Amino acid sequence: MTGMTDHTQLILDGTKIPWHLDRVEAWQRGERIAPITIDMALTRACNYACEYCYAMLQENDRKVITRDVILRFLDDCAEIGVKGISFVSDGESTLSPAFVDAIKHGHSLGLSMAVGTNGLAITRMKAEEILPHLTYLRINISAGERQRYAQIMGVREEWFDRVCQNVKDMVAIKQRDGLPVTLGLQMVVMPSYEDQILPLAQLGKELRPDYLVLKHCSDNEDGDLGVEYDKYEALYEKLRRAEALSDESYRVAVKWSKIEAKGQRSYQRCYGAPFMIQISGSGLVAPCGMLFNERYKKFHIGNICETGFKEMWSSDRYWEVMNYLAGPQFNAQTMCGSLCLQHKVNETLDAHVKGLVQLRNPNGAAPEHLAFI
Amino acid sequence: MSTAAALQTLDAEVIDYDALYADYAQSLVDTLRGFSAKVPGLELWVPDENLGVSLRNLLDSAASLGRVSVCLRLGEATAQQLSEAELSELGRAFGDVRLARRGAAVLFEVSRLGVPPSPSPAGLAPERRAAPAAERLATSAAARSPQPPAERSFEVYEARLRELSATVAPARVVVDRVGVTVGASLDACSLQLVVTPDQHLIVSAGSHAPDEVRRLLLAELCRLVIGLPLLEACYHGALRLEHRLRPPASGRPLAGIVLPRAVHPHFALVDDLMRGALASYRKVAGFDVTRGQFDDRPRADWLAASLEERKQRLELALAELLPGLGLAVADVSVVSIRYDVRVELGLSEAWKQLDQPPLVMALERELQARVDPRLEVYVQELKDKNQLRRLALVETP
Repeated sequence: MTGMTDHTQLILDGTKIPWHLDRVEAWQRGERIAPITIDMALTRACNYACEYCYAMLQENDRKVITRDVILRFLDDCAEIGVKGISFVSDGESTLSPAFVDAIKHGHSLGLSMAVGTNGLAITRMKAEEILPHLTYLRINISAGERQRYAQIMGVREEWFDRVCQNVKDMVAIKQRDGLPVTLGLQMVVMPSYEDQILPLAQLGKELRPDYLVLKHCSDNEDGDLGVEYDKYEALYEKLRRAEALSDESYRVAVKWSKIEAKGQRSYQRCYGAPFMIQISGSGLVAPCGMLFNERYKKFHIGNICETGFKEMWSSDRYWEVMNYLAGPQFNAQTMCGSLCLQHKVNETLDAHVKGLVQLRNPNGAAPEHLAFI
Repeated sequence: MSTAAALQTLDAEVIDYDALYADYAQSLVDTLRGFSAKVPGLELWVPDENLGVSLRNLLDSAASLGRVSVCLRLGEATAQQLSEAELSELGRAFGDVRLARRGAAVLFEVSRLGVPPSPSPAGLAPERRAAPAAERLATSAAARSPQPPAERSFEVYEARLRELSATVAPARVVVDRVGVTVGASLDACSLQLVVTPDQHLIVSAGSHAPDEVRRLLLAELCRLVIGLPLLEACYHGALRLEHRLRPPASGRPLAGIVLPRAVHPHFALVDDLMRGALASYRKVAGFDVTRGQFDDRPRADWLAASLEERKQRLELALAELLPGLGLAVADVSVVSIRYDVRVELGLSEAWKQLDQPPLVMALERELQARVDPRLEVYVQELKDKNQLRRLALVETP
């Protein structure tokens, strides 16, 4: 066993919802389905201050997710049939004292566990502890040069060196132990970061994670982050050159479908939320991270620091919110920010409901990371 | 090493571990960006309730970031959690250890840091993946969810249809309107639509059904779709119809997500007829657009009203409905109205005692019913308390 991920089976720009037809069919029958994937954070705190950070727009009532809370939550998830938990969302989960135990506990329950992190606090010692329990670990790194890294991500230049070392250590541990974990890098591309696309793709080639993904930046419905989607087109050539740096064990992938969508949605109802919900680092459960701010109070379902997730999931309130998003009064084109986490799932389910496509059991081998749709 | 001897030689910067721990815990709540343990070399430290794990993490951070030594003051209660022998053993994995007493507190110094810890320290050997519990998970919630009956009752919708038919004249196809006439038939039912070729709007509609219930249903569909773009009517006509016919008091007809096709075969018929009509129109008119962009607009009287008038209407409606929700008029204020339809409400302190989310949703429903069905209700945005770095709408503190 090499421990290297089979890249032909890794979907980085798309959705795996067709591989969950049983749950789609239950959803269509109007049954209460458990989310397949839950994207969450263990804290709202972060040791970085990235320029494009969407978490700046997600402020909500702060509570602390303790070890007891997260372990109980994971028990509930396993019981109702959740398949994957990714610690990504609106905070840097590695800063939570419950981080390591949560990963181990979730994995022991049979849940697929994943992490999105800036990677700073994942020292070699911590990597040894967590990597055997993870399906994937993705480092957010939006520059390939230390000075620009510090500018863009709002930290000291030395942190760039530290993160690179941490990536090297993780790659070494994975190779040494033949771990199935996928290690990735992710760049949030803003048009003004054009100069960092190729240096980062090259850096990835040296650090040897499994992949580097280059993605758009999301913005809220008022465009508060100021993302200029029209300017992405000027980056296409560089993005293609970055992709060309891929080799047999390092893949550079651009999320073309989202970048080319220019922030536009083809659909108006949000059908993806029951399959994939988000939880803030404050414990707030909402159908989508873009609805974390107190402004969207009407969509807030509850808080795992106060109520068990199983109880919340089976409550009428949970399904009232989900139905609001699927109902005629909701329009994702005008009421939501751009290119949300559920976007690809929404696109597929909407086309399915409209009869534009017919979801069928996909042919061939299932892709990697099925629990993360 | 004797404690007394150590006392003589400890000269490193002393860090109050308990204060550091407390500060970290507080910062997790109130320092959302640029969070750090604040002590140079401890930026990677993540504390733990377990003192041994916490100190190990702290020394790992210091060693990883090139700090030469760390001297911690452990308060009495903290120090009691580990014996001197345990502290010494823990520290020796990272460097040279010295311990000293300061009253009831303990000074714990580890120097000559920088030698990287063993890749697989004792007790931290990589664990192999537990056998996946996929089989257990495969049973999933779907398997435990109540199975829907083969066919649900249509009674509540039928009653509403009869009510509506008694008050509203049925829609009919007006053949002299300029447009393309398209239709579809299924199960002895048929639907005819006249669509304008320039804007693809349904300008008239008519239907036929062999029984009264479906006749009433399709007649109501015709009334509903006139004026809508064909694409919207096809994509969301059945959804709109189900919502229009569902009595508010009867609750949702399904436990999970309500897709009209799952509610009753009559709604599937509606869906199929609309799809058939669209397919026919695509063929006849060469219409190939698939992206629906229709957005309901507010009523003309709302659009014609000034900002002040709109605010007054909302305040009047709130004054009527708030007592019914157990709230005082002063508990809700209209902060702004943007894009014609986004109403931002300010909530008083009294709301903190309430289950706010369902109440805000209820307020929205009431304002839609009393003022305009297109209104969207939000509460005031909570601004990030940290220095924002790139927001287009930067606000000075």
